[in-house]
Amino acid sequence: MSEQQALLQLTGIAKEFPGTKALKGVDFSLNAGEVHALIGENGAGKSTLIKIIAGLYQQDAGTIEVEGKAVEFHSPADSLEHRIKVVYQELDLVPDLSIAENVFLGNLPKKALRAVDWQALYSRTSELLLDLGLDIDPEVPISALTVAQQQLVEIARALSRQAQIIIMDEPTSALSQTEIESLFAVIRRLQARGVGIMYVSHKLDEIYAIADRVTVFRDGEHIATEAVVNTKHSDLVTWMVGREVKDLYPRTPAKRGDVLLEVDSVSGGNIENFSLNVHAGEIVAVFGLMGSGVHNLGRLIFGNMPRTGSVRLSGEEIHAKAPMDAIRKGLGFLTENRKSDGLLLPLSVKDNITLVSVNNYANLMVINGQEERRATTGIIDKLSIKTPGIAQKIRYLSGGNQQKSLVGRWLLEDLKVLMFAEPTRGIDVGSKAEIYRLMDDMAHGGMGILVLSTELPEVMGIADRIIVIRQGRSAGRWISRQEANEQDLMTAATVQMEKVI
Amino acid sequence: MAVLSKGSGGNSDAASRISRWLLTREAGLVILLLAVVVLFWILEPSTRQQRVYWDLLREISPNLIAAIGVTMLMLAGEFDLSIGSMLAVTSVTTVVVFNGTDNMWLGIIAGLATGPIVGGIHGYLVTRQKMNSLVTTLGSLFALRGMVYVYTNKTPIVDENGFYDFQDAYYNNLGPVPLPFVLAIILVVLALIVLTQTEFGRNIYAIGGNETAARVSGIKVNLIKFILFVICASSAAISGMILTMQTGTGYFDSGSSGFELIVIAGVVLGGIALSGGKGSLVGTLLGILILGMTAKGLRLMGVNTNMQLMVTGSIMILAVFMHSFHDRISIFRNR
Repeated sequence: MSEQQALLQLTGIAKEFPGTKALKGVDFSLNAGEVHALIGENGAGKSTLIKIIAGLYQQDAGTIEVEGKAVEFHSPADSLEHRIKVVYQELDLVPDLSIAENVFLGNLPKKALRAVDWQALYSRTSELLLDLGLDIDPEVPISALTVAQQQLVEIARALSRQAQIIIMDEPTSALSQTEIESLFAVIRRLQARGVGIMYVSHKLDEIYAIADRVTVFRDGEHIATEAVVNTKHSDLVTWMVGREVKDLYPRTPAKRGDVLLEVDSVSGGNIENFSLNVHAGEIVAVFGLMGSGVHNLGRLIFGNMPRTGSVRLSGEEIHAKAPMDAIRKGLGFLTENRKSDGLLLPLSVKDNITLVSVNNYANLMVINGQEERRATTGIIDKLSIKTPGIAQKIRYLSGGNQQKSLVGRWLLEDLKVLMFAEPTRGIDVGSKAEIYRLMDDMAHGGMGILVLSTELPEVMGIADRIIVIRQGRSAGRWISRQEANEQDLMTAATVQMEKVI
Repeated sequence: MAVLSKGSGGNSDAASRISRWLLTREAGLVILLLAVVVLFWILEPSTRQQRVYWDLLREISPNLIAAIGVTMLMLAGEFDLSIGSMLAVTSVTTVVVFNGTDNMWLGIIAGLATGPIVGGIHGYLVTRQKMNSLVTTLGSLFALRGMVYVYTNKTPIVDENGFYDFQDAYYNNLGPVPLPFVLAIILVVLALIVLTQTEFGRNIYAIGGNETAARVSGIKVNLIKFILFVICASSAAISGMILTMQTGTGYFDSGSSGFELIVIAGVVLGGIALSGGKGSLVGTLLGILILGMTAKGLRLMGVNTNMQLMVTGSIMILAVFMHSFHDRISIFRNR
């Protein structure tokens, strides 16, 4: 089709799993020196395609060509041999090994007798890291690094194998704005060297910032491939969801009631003297960058991180170090790590939803199964959670439906205030709108909502009041979102940090 | 005044270096071992003789050798519970072949060959058939023991030729050092080099630390695990051979009194994480020494076996407490 020979050409790729057709014959091509974005909602088939390219899955039908030659990948080693490297969303690093050992994992430089050449290992790692602008001792274990640094280690790993094709799966989901910009700088440098980059993301803004072409998948089908300059934001959204999403942020003012949550000079971790309050019917957002302490604030309030200062719910003091006390008094918390802190992945949707409230259906410690099922079905209907049944293992649900199940878990409790860290991280556009609508409903029902977020558009779209947190301290307050603008919020969240840099 | 502060500065430097060393996992184990030795030195006069320690090294050699294989396998996040039964398989096979062929070397070769065979079966079942290693080897713990019972009808098999060279190997020394311990230390050093200095060894840590990461990095996870199962059962076969030398008989109940648990206890005490990826063979060596010394000291004191269990168990819990304390400290230091 194009005059230039594609670096990577996928044609008619199909893959079926028991019960679902993940990919129904999709095409994708990648040229040298190109950033080609792949977008689609969860369940569109992006991850399956990545795993096929990585050699983790084998396709049922279709061909893969690298530089015009048909190839077959039976294992990750085959894919790596063709200089393809995937930088995974959930970082695939070995936490207790050093940076250097991780960068050269599976590919350690060797001397005679297959002994590891430590000197070469460390010096080559240092070179690669410096190339990426990371000046750090290669002997340090991965567990001591920030997420952004770990991401760079992953990219260094790709470079160590002279990758010509790099696949990035949601690379920015845990990065701050400045870190995203330095990642983009790295991508542009790779691009200039002729590396082809497949960029998988949910964030449409990033696609306009970095990609040359964009391909949209929906429900395992190829919907469109276009040059980014020729597409409008609304086109992408329409292609992704198959319909127009009219209003992503459905916030309507609710009646502001009494104060529910009072946080008074709370300190702990990197947080110092932070105060806020949330009234009934109100959505309050705390906005901060990664590392600002925005997520820890939730942990401090909830009591699963040691704190000083006082937290009151409807005037009643909540004990520090006792999340159970917080729950009993009517405070719920959804953390930013859905998978590790929230979901019980091997268990059913029902077990996940009734985790906290299961005692409500028990007589003398024996669970009344019927009542438990009825409660679960009620939540599934109310939140329109898409699942084949209440016995489905939650791991097979899309990110959006998992998140809704977690919201459902708290709805079964009689909550006064729900804290919501990164309510829509890793969730597709359609589900985002539904989660926001749920929050709006809860506020109208007289609950107070506290959002802890690193995503500016979300904060701007949903909050009644906004507090900016910077280096663990309050760095600005806006009494309505109409008065706030993105510029001011960002400045408040970053200004001191830039001085340090 | 100035001199004083200078002096104290030098002291605090040395002190900080010592305190940093004290924070390593191995340092804690060395201290625990010394504490056990000193305690018995005070309580039991017979432990003040050098001979006791050479005997100790001879006695723990089979445990130490089996612990090498168990450590390597556990570092990759897998288990072998069948090593106790392996001892009997090796022991019986060796003496049966002695008597059948009247050839010592054929017996030794046959006995040692049981290791790779059993280990190969474990490796196949776990890596190809995707069976859980804990359950698989728990099965072979019973199956192998049963096989030995059926074959021997629970009678010890006597070495009819009386190969004294074979038996002497257990009791002979190289200089002051018991031969079995010489073998054990050679194997420990070899394994230590493999684990710390070769790609194969580092890949074991990578698999235990994050198997997915290892797999997507092109490390042949299944092949490495297969080899480790073979190494583990083989090291148990070597242990079985040494115990056969000790008695000169093919004994059906060899290793039946919880050998696998004592070895795994030593390994865990030495700081190898049950989930894999963390720990060192030096820790294992210290762990086995601590348990061995405790058992020996108590035996010399004439403490009854019930009491011995209690003390050994408590020492293990103390060591595990030390490790978790150490982990918390290092997390704190990394932040």
